[in-house]
Amino acid sequence: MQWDRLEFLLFSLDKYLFIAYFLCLILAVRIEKKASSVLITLTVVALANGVMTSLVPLLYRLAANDGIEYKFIWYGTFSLIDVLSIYLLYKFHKLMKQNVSSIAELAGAAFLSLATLQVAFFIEQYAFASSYLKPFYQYGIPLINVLLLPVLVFLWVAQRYHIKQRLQGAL
Amino acid sequence: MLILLISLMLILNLTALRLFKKLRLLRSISQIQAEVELEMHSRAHRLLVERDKLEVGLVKHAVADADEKWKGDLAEYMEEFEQEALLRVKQRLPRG
Repeated sequence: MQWDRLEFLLFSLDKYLFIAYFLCLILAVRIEKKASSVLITLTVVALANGVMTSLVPLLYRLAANDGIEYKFIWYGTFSLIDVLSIYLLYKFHKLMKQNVSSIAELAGAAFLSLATLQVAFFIEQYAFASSYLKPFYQYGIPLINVLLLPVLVFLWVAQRYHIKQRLQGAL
Repeated sequence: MLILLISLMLILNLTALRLFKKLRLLRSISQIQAEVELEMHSRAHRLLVERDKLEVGLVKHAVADADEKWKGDLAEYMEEFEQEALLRVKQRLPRG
């Protein structure tokens, strides 16, 4: 597959992610049946994706203006959503007394990486007037967003298989 | 203005890092609890087997005594379980 095609696929998939997360959440509710770390994680990830998707047009209009404060609105809002997502992951697990699974930890790490990319690129661009981090920012963010869903689903399936085996072993 | 905005961005990133560390700490506690749970599971199984043996081998008047012993064993088991999980959390995780 050529790079152009891969690039096109990466950016077009990014737009449909919210729908995929939403469908995955409904499937998880049907399968899990009670509160769990997987459900908390998928709810937070779907929510964060939905908020980001709905805010993009407005943020894009604002960021098109001249002035660093407008650029800050773009990078700062995304970072804030990432921070709030980690907060929600932590708080929901604590409030609902759920064990934190590897799925939740991975989602937290993904949000932290996304926030770090936003902050690092903003600082590099406006404090040092360079753009070495541009490819990491440009491709890193859609790549993390697109890869997170299949990896979460894979871990979820692996975890269910592991639990099933443990139960069979105990009987 | 630039310094203020950069400081705000850094605060956001540091907050993300701090919250992620808290999430990982919560995960470590969960893992220790799961580990203790697994160890105690085999003990619980042994207790159940002992109770069954007691019930089968006893005459009627001794059933109440066996039941009392079982309740005592169970209470001791539950307390030990909680203490063990707490002790391991304290031993293995950093304070603060």
